[in-house]
Amino acid sequence: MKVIKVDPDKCTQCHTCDLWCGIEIGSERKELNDAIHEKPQPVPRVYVEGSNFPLHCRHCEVAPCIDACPNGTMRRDPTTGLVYVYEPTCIACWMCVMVCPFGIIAPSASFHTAVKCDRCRNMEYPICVDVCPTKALVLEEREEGATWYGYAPKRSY
Amino acid sequence: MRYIIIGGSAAGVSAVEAIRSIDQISPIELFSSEGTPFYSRVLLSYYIAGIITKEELHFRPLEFFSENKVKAHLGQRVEKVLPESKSIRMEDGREYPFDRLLIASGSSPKIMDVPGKDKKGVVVMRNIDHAQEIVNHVEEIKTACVLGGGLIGLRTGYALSLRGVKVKIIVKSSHVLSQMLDKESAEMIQGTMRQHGIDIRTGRDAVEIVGKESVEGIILDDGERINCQLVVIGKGVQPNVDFLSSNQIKVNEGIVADKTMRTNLPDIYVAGDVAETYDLSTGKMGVNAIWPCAFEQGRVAGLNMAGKKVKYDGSFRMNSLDFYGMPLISMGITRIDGNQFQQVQRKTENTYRKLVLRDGCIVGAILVGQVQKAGILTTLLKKRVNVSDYVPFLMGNRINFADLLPLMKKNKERFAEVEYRELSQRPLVSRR
Repeated sequence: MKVIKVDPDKCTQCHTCDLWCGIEIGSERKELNDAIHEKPQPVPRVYVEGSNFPLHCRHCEVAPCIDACPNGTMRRDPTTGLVYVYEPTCIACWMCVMVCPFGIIAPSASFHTAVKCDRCRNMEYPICVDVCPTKALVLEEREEGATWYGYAPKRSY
Repeated sequence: MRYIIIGGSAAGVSAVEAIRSIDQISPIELFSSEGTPFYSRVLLSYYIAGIITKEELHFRPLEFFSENKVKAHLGQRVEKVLPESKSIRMEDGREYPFDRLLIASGSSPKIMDVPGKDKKGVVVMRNIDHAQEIVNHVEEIKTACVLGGGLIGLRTGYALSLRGVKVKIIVKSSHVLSQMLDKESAEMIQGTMRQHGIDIRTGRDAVEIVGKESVEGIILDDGERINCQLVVIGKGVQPNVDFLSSNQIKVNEGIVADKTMRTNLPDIYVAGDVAETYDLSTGKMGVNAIWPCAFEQGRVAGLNMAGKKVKYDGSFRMNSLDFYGMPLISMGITRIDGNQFQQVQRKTENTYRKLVLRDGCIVGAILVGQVQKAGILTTLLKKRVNVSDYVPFLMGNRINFADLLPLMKKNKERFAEVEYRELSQRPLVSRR
C-alpha cells in the first residue's frame, strides 16, 4: 500500500496542501474563488500541525476507526487498502473520532458526517503531494512486515 | 478444526473475520438466539428516532455468512456448554462438538424490580424487537417515562423526543450518566436536554407502574404520579452467562478472560460484553460492554483460536454521544476517589474538558462541546504513556499529534506499529 510520508525539514508551513485539499476534495465547485464562498465551508483533510508537520489519515493496517464504527460506514477499499468514510450512511456518532490515534477525523457538524483523508483514492495522485512546492510530502510504499498484530486482515468493511 | 461461535454481534462477527484471515477451510458454526443478524445494537435509538431505516442498522452485508463459509443457526438458543465432551447442547437437545469455542453471548438488560413491570408498554431497550415495539406504537405515545439515567435510557429518551414524544427521565442518582460523567459535564447535558423539552428528575425513583393491562402512568417515590403510555427501563446490562451450567468456567462479573481472550479452560475463548478483561484505566479486572472493545476482543480471540499467538492489552470504558448538536466523549475513570489521582478541568460556556491522571498517565477524560482529536487522549490512555510534561498542551485547543512525536519517540516500544514508525522516518524519495 502506498502512503503519504512527510519530511518536516522540508515543510515551510505554507499550507498549500490544506488549501488545495479543501478546494479539490472538500469543495463542491473545485475553484478557489467559488470554494471560499461555499456554505458550509469546505473542510480540508490534511492538517499542518505543530510548526511543520502536515498530518493525514495514516490508513492504519488494523484501523481502530473501522472497529469502532457501528454500521460499516468506515470502510477499507479491498483493492488499495485505503480507509474511507462512506458518507451516505454516516450518522455522526463520532465513535471514529473517539478512537483515531492521530486525531485526523473531523466531526463536521455542518456536513453531519465524519470527514477524513482517503488519500484521494479516486484520483491518480493525492492532491497535497502534487501541490507541495518543497516536496515535503511524498507518496511511498509502506514498509512490509510488522503491523498491530503482526498481520493485517483483508476486508472491505 | 471445528469452530463454534456463540453470538452473532460485534465480537462474533469480528472473530469470524479473524479466523478466516488465517484459516479459510475449517468449518465455523455460529449460534445466535436472535433471528436478525448483523444489526448494530448501538444504533437502535437512531432507528427509533427515524434517522436510519431498519436496513441501515446492518453493519455487515447479509451475504457475510455465505461469503465467509459460516453455517449460521439464527434464532436458536444454546442451552448448555459442555466442556467435558467439548460440545454445546441446544434447547432441542441436539449437540454440536467443537475443537475451539468462542463465547460471545453478549449481555442483557438488568431487570428492575418494580410492581407493574409486566404491563404492556413497559420495555427494556436491548434488541431489535424492543426497538420495533416502540416504533410500532410511537404514534400513540404522548408521554414516555425513562427509568434510569444510563446511556441506553438517555439515548432512547432523546430518540423519542425527536419523534415528538414528551419525555420524562427519572434518575435515582444526583445526575444522569453517573457511570461516565462528573457533575459539571452531566449538568451541561441535562441543561441542553431540558432546553429541548426533556424533563429530567434527578434523585427520584419509580415505586410503581400503574395501569390496567397497559401502562397508564408511574408513581414516584415522593408520591407524584406521572401519566404516560410508555415506560422504558434502562438500568444497565449484565453478561449472559446463564447457559454455563457447569461452574468449570470461571465467572466473576463476566467470564474471566486471560491475555489471549481464553477462559480458564483450554480451547474455550470469550469476547465482547460477556467478557471480563483487564481494565487499563482502573488496573483491575472488569466488564466493559462497549462496541469497539467487542470488536477488538473478537479479533484477538479469533486469531488465537486459529493458532496465531496474539495478546490483548486490555479494555477501558469509552463512549461518544451527540444530543442536539452537543458532542460528548467520555473515557476511563471520570470521578475520582482517593488521593492517588490528579485532575485538571477547563470549562467555558459551551465546552468542558477534564483529564484524570494517575502516576502521570491519563486514566480518564471527559470532552464536551469540542471533541475533535479525542482519539489522541484515548491512545495515550491505552498505551499508558506518562504525559506529565504535556498536561497543559493536552488540555488546550492546540492539541495535535505532531507535537507529541517527541513523547512517542521516548516511548517507542509502545508505538511500534508501522503507522507510528513511518511518521518519524524521512521519506526515501525526499532525501535524494
